[in-house]
Amino acid sequence: MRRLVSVVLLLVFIISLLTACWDAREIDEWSYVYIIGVDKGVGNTMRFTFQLPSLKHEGAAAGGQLSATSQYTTSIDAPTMYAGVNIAESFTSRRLNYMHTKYIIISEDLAREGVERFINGMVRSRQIRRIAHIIIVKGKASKFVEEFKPLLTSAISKAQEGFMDMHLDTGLFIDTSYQDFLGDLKATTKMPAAPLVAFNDFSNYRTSGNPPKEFKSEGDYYAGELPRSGGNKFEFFGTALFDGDKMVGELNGDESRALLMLRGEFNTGSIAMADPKDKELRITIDTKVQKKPEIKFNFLEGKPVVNVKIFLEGDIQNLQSSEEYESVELKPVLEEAFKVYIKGIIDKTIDKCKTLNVDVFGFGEKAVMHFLTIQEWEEYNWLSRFKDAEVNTEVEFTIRRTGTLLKTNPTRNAEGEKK
Amino acid sequence: MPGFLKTISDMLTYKEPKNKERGFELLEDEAQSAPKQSNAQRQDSSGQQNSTQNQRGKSSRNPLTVEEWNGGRKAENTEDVCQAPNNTNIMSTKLCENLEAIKQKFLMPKNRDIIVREFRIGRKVKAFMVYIDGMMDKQTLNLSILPQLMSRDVFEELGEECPVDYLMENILAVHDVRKTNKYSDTVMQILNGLSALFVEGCGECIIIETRGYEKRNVDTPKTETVVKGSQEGFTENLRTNVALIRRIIKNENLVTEMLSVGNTNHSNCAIMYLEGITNPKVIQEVKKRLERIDTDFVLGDGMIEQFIEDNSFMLFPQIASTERPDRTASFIMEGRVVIIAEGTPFALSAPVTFFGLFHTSEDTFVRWPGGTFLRLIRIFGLFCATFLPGLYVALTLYHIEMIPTELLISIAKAKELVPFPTLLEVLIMEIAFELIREGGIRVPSVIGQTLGIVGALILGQAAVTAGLVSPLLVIVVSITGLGSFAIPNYTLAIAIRIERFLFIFAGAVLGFYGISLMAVLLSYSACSMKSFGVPYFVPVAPKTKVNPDIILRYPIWTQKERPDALNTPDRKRQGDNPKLWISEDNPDETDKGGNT
Amino acid sequence: MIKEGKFGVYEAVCLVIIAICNKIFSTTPGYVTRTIGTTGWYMTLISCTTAIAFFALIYLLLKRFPGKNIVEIYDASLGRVVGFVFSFLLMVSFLSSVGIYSREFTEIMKTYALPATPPSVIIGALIFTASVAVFLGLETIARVAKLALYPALLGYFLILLFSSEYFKLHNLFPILGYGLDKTVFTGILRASAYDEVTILAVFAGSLQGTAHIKKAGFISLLLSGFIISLGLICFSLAFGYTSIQEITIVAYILTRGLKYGTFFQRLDPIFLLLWIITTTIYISILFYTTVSIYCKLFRLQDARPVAVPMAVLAVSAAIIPKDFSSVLSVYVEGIRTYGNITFFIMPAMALIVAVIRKKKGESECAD
Repeated sequence: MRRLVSVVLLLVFIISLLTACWDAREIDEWSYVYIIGVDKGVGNTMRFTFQLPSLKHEGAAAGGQLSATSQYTTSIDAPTMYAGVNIAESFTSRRLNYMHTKYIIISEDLAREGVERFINGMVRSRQIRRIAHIIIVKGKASKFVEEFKPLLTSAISKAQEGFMDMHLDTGLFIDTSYQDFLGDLKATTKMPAAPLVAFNDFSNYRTSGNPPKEFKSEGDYYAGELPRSGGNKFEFFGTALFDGDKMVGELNGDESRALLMLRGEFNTGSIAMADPKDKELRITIDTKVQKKPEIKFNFLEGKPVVNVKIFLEGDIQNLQSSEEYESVELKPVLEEAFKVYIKGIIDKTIDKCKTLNVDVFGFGEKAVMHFLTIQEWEEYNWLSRFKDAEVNTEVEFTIRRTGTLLKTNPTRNAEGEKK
Repeated sequence: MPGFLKTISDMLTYKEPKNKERGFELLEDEAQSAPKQSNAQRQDSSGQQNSTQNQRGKSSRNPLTVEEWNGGRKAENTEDVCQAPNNTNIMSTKLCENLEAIKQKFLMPKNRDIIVREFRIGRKVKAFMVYIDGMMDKQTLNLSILPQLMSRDVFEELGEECPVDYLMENILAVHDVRKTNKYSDTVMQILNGLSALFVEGCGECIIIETRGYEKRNVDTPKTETVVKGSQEGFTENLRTNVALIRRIIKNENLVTEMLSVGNTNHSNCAIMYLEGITNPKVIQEVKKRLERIDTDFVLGDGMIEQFIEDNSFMLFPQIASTERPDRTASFIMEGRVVIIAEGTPFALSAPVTFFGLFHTSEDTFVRWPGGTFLRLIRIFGLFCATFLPGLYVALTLYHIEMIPTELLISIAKAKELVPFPTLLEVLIMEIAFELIREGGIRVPSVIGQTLGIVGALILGQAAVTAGLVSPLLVIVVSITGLGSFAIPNYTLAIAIRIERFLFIFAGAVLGFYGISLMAVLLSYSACSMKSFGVPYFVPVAPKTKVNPDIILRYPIWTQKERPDALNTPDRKRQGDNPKLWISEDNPDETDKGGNT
Repeated sequence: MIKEGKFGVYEAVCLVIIAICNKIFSTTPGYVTRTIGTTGWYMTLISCTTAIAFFALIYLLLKRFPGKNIVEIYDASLGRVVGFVFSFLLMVSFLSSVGIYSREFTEIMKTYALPATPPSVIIGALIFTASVAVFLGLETIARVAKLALYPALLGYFLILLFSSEYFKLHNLFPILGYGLDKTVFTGILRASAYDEVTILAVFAGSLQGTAHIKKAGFISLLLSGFIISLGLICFSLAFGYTSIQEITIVAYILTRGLKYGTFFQRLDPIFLLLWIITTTIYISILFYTTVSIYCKLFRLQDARPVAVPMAVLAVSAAIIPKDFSSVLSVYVEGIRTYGNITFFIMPAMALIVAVIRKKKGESECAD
């Protein structure tokens, strides 16, 4: 009798646990959203676009062989994102899951109006990750989400990470995670910035004409203007500047580099400049960062004065002339020319930001150390005073190595040594 | 119906716990001052066992059938003087009475195993020998006993006194003879294969060591193979096993006490320990538990283990069993007690801790980096075997964010074709794996090898192609299986295989939350266990002196003391400088290498 | 009197550290930033110092009555009625800690990991594990605490180490937060964060002497202070004071942010494993303390029949609050603010009364 009662109780217990494994969802009950695009809506407040993988088996699936993942995109007009998701579930057979969303694309006109309304709300859900990347697109976000079909690989998430990792290699755009963006939005020391992406219709790729005489650097373009043909239709280039939650300005590739250097996040980049001795020739330096920049903040008669010193080092990558820049006499000339060039770019960037009154560089982080309590600091309100600050920059640069060539001998032609 | 209500009310009301003690505890302060066992007690112990056995032997003797009783009464009526003495264990001096008693006890003539050889000693004195055919060594009987006894010049003087002592001292050319006057003792010895010699006019009989039965040779151990180490394993014969251990520990303080367990089959059981190194309280506890086993028959050490362990309802084993004499010897040297039973080639050792179950003799024979590495692999195998399927279920059902995106998409694609939910899939694969394992033990060895490897691969592949399981699951199940093979102790491996299912269910119901709760519950039950008074997770919890041999194996010269938890009277194992040769060779470099 | 096993200094330290430091994983670091801003890390050091001072008073009280636990001491020094009331209040404080923390834990679980599971299942499973611990005894909990502490601390330090890529020194400035006075006042008030050290007083009989209690108490308080302060420093460094006020659980968000390359991302369920194990042990030890005080109050011989009803009480206490906001703002704040009274001030009062009335315990015979 005792055994019977125990068995009955045990069964009741187990069955009550297993009647609904309330949270268990099989893998094939979810649909994983890769990219979320946010636009200004026409039918309703906002327009949301989602890119989902299609898990159909096309062709013969002989156990091991799985066909490439194709994606499909859907756009919805809705008042808020989660309401939009509910509408979307009327025509998908699975729930949408954002745990693997890596890109949150915001269109430029929505950014210029202000992102606050949805940026704060999205992160409340447990599914949105703070390591997703925030990207501003020039044009429509829905178009970007539709056109995001990377050419080199069918593994979408690898491609997504790969695109953003390129900023480490070139420095021509920045990489902002949701965490950074949200933090900078609320911070009293810094303004947020986000990378820009745009569509290139390849119209800058002219088939006839002459190249410009003056030096045009490789970063002197805004997103969408690169003179190229072929490859993915979109390109990541430049930075969007935010004043609070509204986008106010844009930086081109060179200025993004300067921004990264001032923030201390510049990694490496191949920077081309004009040859100091012959203005028609170009030199490329593989630039790296020597150490983090030194930023000193002082108050001179109540006016904030910032002294920035940037430390760079480089390897010579390409010399077009046969001057012996590797020698001890000529190397300082090259270094000096490079310092002047970089300082020019940095000063241009700082002036641009001062005009817009956005401290995206984080000088406020050094300013805060001069205050004792939060009340004093918030009264001072550094973010409004950036335009009055005086910023002095200095660049330190050394050429470390010269590559696999120690010396470039001049070419010889029929007339003898070419100069 | 009333029974039902009563049962419910029984379950809900409070009852005083019957067991007032807290169980056997091995406490620190009393270890050093416990008295040694006296010599008299030691020598008398075998006698004591027999006397306690007597009581049991008598009470479980077969009752006489009616015919036998009538036959006895008839013999009485015909005034035959030769009848068995009634109700006494002491032998009579009359030979025919002894013969009748022996015949009654062994149920002859029904019982054809027992042979009675009647003859005359020195052609004068009547005598008979009793033995069991097949258990004695015919050579000894035919060459060393019968010729000597039957030769003409045995008795120069023939007196009235009993010639037993004379025979033992002068005639019997056998290596081990004893005398006894009790029937029960004689019967036990005959059952064990010795022979009994009864002489006319003597109230005692001589027990002669003539054991010689078919037994297995010393062979490589089947379950614990090592690469670098001795290849001898135990056999089913008790004497051989004890001798194997004696060859390793040549110490006069190594004591072998013999007990008999099992009321009906009287199986022999030996307890071995080192006097002066083992804590006497542990020895007493082991003996107490063995003596109190009150059961019909005991086939070997597996059954003994189940009778004497502390917690029968816990999954983990509390007594280690091993097939190798070198491991057994190391247990004895650490201060544990070893129990060897007849009938199985295994030896038990108590007390044991959880970490001790992971040691194999290979760790000691290999240098310390290798030893540590092997142990870490085993612990990793333990984790895989326990947690991996549960983690897989919890990850795919509840926490898909942890899986890298591309892997997730490929799993999702593969799962499109599978009709089963994940939990069912995992259970099918696990049960199939267990079936293969269990069936593979019984397949004849000619087909066995190929079936194992090829079968598993093809089965897995076929299941994937048929769309029954997803490919990742086959990998998970195989790694789980491999992990459980890596656990050295067989009982622990079985326990882990059972626990794996608990974790699968816990993960399926509540995800990582369920797995953590189940892990904590299991730790609670494991940490509350004691194995013969030693807490199960010592030396980690509770903390005792640092033992350089738990998971990471430090170099052998650092293992200076015996494990602290066993509270041995003699702690030191090595001197202060075990590598004395270093300081002797280089007198000015005394600090290198030796002192750690 | 119920039989409790014995455990040594090492295990006592592990037990108290788990009990105290489990709070770093809860909502308190984020919530308290509203008042003190960037100064969390040294506010907690002030709390720790206050707690050490109060523990010194408790230790003096225990030294005065060697070998007795706090229930008996309250009886001896304050008389039966007042002693009963004090012990009862202590028990109620422990029970409410159990209930409120379980509720907080459940709410967080529902937010992050198990959204659709009914909260009663989560609370029920947790309290069930705690009651199993009561059946198995105090030594078991101490041993499991020791076993679990090493991986938990290792995981904790690894999380802090790997999130160092987000650390920005300027986030600690302005260095005085909203003002030094607010910081010090909050620090002293929040010494209740360390009030679990009182379990050493409840189990004074199991600790083999007052010298052990002294060592265990002070070492565990110092170590917990260090661990909590380290955690708060890292949280403040990773998030600015404006962001950290918004976040529900700072430690969890920190773990979510770990990202090394494309593979080592989104590893927060591992943090979940750690946290659940330490929470379970925390709830077990507090629950056991409640049961133990109850048995000592009413002089019961066996703790086991008390476990099931006490579990029902604990689950009920956990379900009382209506929603998460009230849990945080009313109940948790209430415990933190008024916890000082039952855990620290009451023993201090007992000490003063014992000194005045010249009550002393018998000294232990030299055994």
